[in-house]
Amino acid sequence: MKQILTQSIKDFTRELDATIDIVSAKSVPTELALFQSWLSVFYTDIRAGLKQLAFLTDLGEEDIYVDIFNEFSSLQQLFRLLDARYLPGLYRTHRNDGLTLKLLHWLHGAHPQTSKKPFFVLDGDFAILPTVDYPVSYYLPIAAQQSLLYLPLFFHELGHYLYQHHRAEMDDLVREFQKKLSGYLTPAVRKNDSSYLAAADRARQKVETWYEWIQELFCDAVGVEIGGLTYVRAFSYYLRMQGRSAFYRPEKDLFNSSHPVTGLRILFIAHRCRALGLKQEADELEQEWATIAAALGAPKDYYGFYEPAWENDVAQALDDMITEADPIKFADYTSNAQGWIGLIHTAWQEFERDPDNYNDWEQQTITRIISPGS
Amino acid sequence: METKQLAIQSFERGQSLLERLNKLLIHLKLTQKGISDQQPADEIQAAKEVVKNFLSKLNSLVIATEQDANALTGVDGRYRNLVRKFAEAKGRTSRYRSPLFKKNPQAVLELLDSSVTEDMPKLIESLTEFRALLEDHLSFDTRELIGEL
Repeated sequence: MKQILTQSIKDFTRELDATIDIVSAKSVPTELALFQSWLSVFYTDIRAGLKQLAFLTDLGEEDIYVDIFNEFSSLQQLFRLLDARYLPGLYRTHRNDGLTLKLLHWLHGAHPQTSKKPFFVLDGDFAILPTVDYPVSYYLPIAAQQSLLYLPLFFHELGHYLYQHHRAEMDDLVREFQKKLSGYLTPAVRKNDSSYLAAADRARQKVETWYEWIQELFCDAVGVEIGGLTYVRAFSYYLRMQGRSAFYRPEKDLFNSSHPVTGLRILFIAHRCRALGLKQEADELEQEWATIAAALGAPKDYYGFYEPAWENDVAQALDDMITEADPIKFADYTSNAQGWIGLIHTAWQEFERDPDNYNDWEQQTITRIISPGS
Repeated sequence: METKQLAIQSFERGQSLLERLNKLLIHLKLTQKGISDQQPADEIQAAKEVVKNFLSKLNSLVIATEQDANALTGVDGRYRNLVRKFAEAKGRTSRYRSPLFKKNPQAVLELLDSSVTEDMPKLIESLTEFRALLEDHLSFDTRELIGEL
């Protein structure tokens, strides 16, 4: 075993050294500098961990070989995670990332929770891996990388990080909300028969599913708080053509699902819009989605996962979570036409005014952002 | 929340805990033999605190799930899964024999604070079994994030 450990430590050290060289040699945009230095430090820490394992192996104490093995395995998995999901954010960086990197750089800088947080972008559907100890990775579709219109969807993704940053407090707020739901859903009369047990089990699963759902609704609330109408437009255009599943899902698909039905999300996006003074926009959004729902003949049945009587409880939980996270407010930025919110707002106005010629306007605008001197 | 999002959060949480468990186990085993592992005392203490905090939270959730069929609230899907795996493991007495599973996480919190030499083997056994359970749990997250060859 000692030989296996020694050989593997040497091989891993060689691989690490090569990776450290790659990271330090890579020339990256300034927005990725924080991420690059984080990677260098992290890989160097793994190397220090390996050095300690080499020392422990040399002690020749067989009792601890299993622990050295486990720690080696743990470090290797960490290394492979970085190799698979983080290093590409540095290694594959492309000039098309410029727009997104600049937006995210501004967005992170505008929040004290993220101003020192390394981040990077990768290809994929809009998503985030909102880790606290590692850099934040944002994903966005290749087609959206050169457009202003859907950038507000990142405001939702930032919400996931804000949740993690305030996790202890957020989990307490969610727990309080889930306990209310549990009170509504759990059968009142406790009997020891199978129908009671089945109903209680369904109630339990519904309450637990809401842990994930309330976080998504919170992220939508963050999206509206930061982006205002720009988030509403981006969200609605991106999701409104997805079909019946936006309004209805079979009961079995709702249990332990990651997101609420989109129709429910619209309800709470509109709710927040009204709270922020966007009454007309909220009315238009609901009208738009009601028109689609009617055309598709989609039933409005959430199988007891949501009842209109809970609207105030959900809204109250979201208000409390927003107070805790304290995202920036769109109203503080809209008047600056050259700032990101003002610019994206103008982009949506331009698109809806003249969709046929929008691309020309957008390309000129993006060029000015990425290469201001050209 | 997407599966990968839950997986990375679970991985981050579990990886940090595994690192502390390995450090503690090596330290305890070498200390028993009078050998220094050259780890600063404050790092060992910090590792103990991380393990204690995790076990305290686990303890309260396990009690909640054992007492009745109530929902596990305020925790994500992967964490709920870990709590239920832990509760199941307590019933598998042929595989999990340490005080952590025969009694409860509270027992290990006391062992972590104990200066009695005779307690050390029980602590090592408990942490070793807990590490095995955690590794089984994290293998799902690792496959989700890294894949397999």
